[in-house]
Amino acid sequence: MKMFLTGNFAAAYGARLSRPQVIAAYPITPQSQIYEKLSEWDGKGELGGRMMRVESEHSAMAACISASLTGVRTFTATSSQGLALMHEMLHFASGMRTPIVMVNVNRSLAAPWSFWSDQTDSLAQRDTGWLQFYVADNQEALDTVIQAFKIGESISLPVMVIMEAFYNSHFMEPVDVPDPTEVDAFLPAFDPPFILDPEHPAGFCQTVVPIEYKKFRIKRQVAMETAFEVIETTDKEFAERFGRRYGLFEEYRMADAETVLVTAGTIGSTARVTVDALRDRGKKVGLLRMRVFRPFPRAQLIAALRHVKKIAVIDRNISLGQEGIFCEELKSVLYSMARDIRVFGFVLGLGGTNVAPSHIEKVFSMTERMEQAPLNPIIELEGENVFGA
Amino acid sequence: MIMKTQSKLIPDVERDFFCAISYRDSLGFNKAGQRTEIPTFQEKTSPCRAACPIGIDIAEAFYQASKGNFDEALRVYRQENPLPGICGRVCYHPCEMSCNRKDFDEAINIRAFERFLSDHGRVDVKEEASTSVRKEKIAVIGSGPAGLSASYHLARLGFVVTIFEAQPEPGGMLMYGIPEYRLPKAILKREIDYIRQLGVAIRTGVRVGRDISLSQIRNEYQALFVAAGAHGGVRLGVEGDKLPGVLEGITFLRNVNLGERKKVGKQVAVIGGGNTAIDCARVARRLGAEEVRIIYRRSLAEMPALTEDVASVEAEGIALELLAAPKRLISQNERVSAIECLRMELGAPDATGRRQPVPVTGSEFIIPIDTVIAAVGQVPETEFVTPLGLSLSEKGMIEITSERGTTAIEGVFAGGDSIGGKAFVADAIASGKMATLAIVCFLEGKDSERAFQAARIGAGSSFAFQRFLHPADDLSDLKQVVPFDRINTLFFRQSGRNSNHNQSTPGENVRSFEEVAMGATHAEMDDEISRCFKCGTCIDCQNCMDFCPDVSILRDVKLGLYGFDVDHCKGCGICSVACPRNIVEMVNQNENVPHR
Amino acid sequence: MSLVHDGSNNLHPGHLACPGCGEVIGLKLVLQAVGKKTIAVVIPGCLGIIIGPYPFSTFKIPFYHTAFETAAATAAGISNALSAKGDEETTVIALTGDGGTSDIGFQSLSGAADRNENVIYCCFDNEAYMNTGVQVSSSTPELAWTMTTPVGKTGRKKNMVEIMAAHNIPYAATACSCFPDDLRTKIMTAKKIKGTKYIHILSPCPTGWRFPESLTPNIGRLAVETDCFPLYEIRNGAEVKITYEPRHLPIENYLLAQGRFKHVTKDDIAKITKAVDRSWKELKRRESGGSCTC
Repeated sequence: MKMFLTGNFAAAYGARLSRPQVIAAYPITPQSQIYEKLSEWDGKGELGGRMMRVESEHSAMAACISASLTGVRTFTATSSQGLALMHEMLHFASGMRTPIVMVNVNRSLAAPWSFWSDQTDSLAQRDTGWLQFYVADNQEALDTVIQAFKIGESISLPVMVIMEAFYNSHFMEPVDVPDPTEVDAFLPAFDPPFILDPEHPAGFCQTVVPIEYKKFRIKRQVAMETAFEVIETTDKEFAERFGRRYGLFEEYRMADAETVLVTAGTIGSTARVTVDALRDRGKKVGLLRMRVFRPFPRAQLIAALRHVKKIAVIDRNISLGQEGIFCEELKSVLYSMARDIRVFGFVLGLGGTNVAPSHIEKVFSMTERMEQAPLNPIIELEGENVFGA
Repeated sequence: MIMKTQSKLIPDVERDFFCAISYRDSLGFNKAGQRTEIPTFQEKTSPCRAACPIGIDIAEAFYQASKGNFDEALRVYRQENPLPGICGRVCYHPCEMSCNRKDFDEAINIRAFERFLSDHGRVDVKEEASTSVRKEKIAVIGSGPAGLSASYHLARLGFVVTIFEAQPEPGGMLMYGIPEYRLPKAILKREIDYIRQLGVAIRTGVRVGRDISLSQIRNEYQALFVAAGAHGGVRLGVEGDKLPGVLEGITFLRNVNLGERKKVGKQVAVIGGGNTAIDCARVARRLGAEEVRIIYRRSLAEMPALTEDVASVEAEGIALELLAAPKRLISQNERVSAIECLRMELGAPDATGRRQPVPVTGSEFIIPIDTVIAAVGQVPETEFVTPLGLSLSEKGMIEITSERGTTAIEGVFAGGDSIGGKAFVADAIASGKMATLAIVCFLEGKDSERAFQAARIGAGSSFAFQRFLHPADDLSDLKQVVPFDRINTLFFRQSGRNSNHNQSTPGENVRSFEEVAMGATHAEMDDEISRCFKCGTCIDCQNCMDFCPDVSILRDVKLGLYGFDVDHCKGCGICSVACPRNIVEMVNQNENVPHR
Repeated sequence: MSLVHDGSNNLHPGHLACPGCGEVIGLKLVLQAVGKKTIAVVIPGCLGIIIGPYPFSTFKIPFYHTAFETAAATAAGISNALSAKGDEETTVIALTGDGGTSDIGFQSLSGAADRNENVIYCCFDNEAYMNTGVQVSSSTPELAWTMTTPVGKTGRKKNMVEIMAAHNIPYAATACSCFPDDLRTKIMTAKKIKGTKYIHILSPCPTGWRFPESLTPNIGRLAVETDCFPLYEIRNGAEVKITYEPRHLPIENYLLAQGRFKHVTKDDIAKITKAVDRSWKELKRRESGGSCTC
């Protein structure tokens, strides 16, 4: 059924359709409407299960983990400060192999305080052992939430579905909300292998010796590596049932591209428009919009980009002291198999500043003009003065 | 590879786990190497038992009573003592004097407990009787507490026992020495009846040496126990001590107990400081004497009579003239009319350790009296043993050749007041038990000294008859006595002792011979029972189990024993502290102590 | 002769507590009283070690060892999951220490209590961060030595049970591992109540309080008998009931038996005695109905 929804509401529908039995959440701008919508349904008795209106995000994640270990499907949502507060528990969730699905709305991390879009918050959690999906629009948000439960429960790892503050969360778009019975058919009941159960008592999460810790950690790495197959199968099944397919990343007009713009999130939508404009001017340019960031699709990216000469990565984030994170990770992958491709890293849109088609055209022209990629990330477009009037 | 989910199975192989989930238990972690000490479970002897001449397992009896098993508690008493109704009224209660509770608040009223059991508990003589009959016949001379005790224990073992008693009624001093108001004769008759029901024959009115000779008895019986008591009075030994109006104390009491109610004079002086003197004074009051005084040559602290009996003296209007002794008796109209006394002071201690009274020169004083009762000592009337060849001491006591009561003649044993020593009922009963042990060993060719040591309680002269009969039954250590500092008083609350009340006021008491002291009420007894620490006897309080941090206390529910998991005990010693009554103790890990 | 373990225990021997540990006594009693149809939450601290190293569990019931400050939220998550599954029978119990309760876990606990989550929350109070080597916590009493207050703590002990009662939870109580029947009774009472139940269990620690390990029972008894740690219940934030009438022994008996107080002066003792007396009288007054329920 087609509805006109904000990104937050779309995420809420995605969650509702997946029938979580415990939701533990805490409000934070710009996520609050997800929490409010779910609470509204809970108040009407439409949600099923139990909603925990906890007193902090750290507690929210702690409760989700233990609820999941008790054998129920769980969901939560947060953003920036809340995600940062959860950091310790994100490691826990992955270590305990609990397939929690969490929607994170990218927002700048304090200090100073800011509410607008910036990807640093979720990327700073890339080492926690969660799968990470970056979505570009509200339909993709809803669909990915549903897919995330299936993927996570297959490999027993938690999944983060990431959208952007205000550009997604508060922006209304037409969204096709799937039929509940169809979703039920697609997503079976949660049936984990090990749960907290007085009938089968066991101790969960004690101290381990180094070799055991290493084994458990490597098992997670192996699980991450097997995730690609699961993601693609799930995507295929989803397409068959609901008619929409997303893949590990979006490839737009890449077949004969010499230069490819690589980006993620809403900049991807803007870049698609810009690629069309550039193509109209005869430029051999394409777009690769990153979707799955963890696990990082190394082989698949190499295959997709092998034929390209130049890559311009646009990061709405920066790892201070290094460079944009998508760029850094892409470069490390290309180093092993495609060293001859030149990668130009651009850091734009920090703090939610606008990235317009004109900016992306500038990115392209700078990339076209430069022979060698500079060592440092490009933080200012030609003619721009970040600190000036 | 897609990891397939499995539903709620316990995996056989832990490599299937993908996070740290433990299904194994910790029983394999052995702590024996960590500790230097290990606990032991050993029941011990309570100080009351160690002090009791009869060696009654008092703590066990209190434990049974605490569970409501009063009949069983009485049975515990009667394993050692056939006369609890007597002792519960007249014993000098050394048990109470060594009771650990006295160091916490006040000693338990153990004597009242014994009386309560005999008043309210049921005796099943069939249970006490032996299942087998022995062919040997044993003769007992004297049916006082020593003779009754020996007969009882011998009969329980299946021997055929005959008591020869000179007086018309059995009981000895219990019948003829202790007045009715302290020991109702109905109680005595009842307890003697139990003994008769065991098959003991009591031939009263038979005086050995007159009606039958000791040699005759010796020929007919396989063993012989002489317990003729000490019923001979001692003269005052001063001028005028044969005057009319001068009575001998033992004879005086005997006549009253035989039913005589002759009036005594108005002003009576009783000479002496023991219970006989007290009883003479109290009887005199009951026979109408207005002024009764006890004249004793030492001070109150040295009086052999029990404190509570001394207290009743004052309550019943009897004066105590202490540190005074008669010099001579003065007569008028051929009857004693006054007594001239000398003041005494205490000098150096004598052979018994008591300070000798020394007359104060020139301190004479005269008291007008019309009756004098001499209660200055008791001697045995034992000439009848000399034909057999038994020797007597200077005072006429039968000489024994060992602490077991053996004499110079094989097969002849002696005990009670007739051999001297402590002249209390409990000690007499104890000597009857000792004679039984000696007789059994004699007849079975066993070493009585060894038998005694095996059953000996603490380091004293008492032993446990039950242990003698069934060495394997009771596993408590008779030699180890629980000291107060091993009682953990944090597990008890202080409270006062429940003392016996009197039936009526002292003024009313002296008007009759009815029993003065009342027994405890059920509520008072329950309180005393709960106050008792039950030193050294496990009462299943389960403090050890509750307080053990290492879940290492084991239990044998059927036998009521506790043990220790030697694989997991860390030797912290908490159990030994938490056990309030000194049963659990820590020993060096390497000591070869048999663990259970 | 057949000597066997007591089957009602839900704790295995072979755990890693110090010899003489008062906390594991309390743990054993709590697990005994709470029964087998229970899921436990454990956090870092002495209990985090007592549960055993992977793959050996010292518990006979399932447990989950979660992050330090999350005991209450974790327990609440399990409780809500069980409700969502339709299971209202299984008990959820959080087994924590004073550090994880009155310090780092306080927020999570307050949140859970505010929501009246259906869990039994036990705080085993050994009055410092003992597992990490005796560092001060807000539950350490005034004047006590710890490794981080070597001259004695200057602040007072945080009164957790009163704070929890102020949340108006249906049941809050103090208990001591050295009063076994009282502790077991309180756990069984808590089991029958729906909502948040908070039980604060004083757990003497020979290692950190500095006394010989065999004397744990005496130290625990003395804490209560000297009025330093009264045993009582508060229902619905208001109804106070004292569950053990102490003997009011002099507090020196308790304080000077522990090495951590060996430096206290006569003045200190007088001051503490006064404060303890006042607290006891106030408690008595509240019990007799002096509290306002308006």
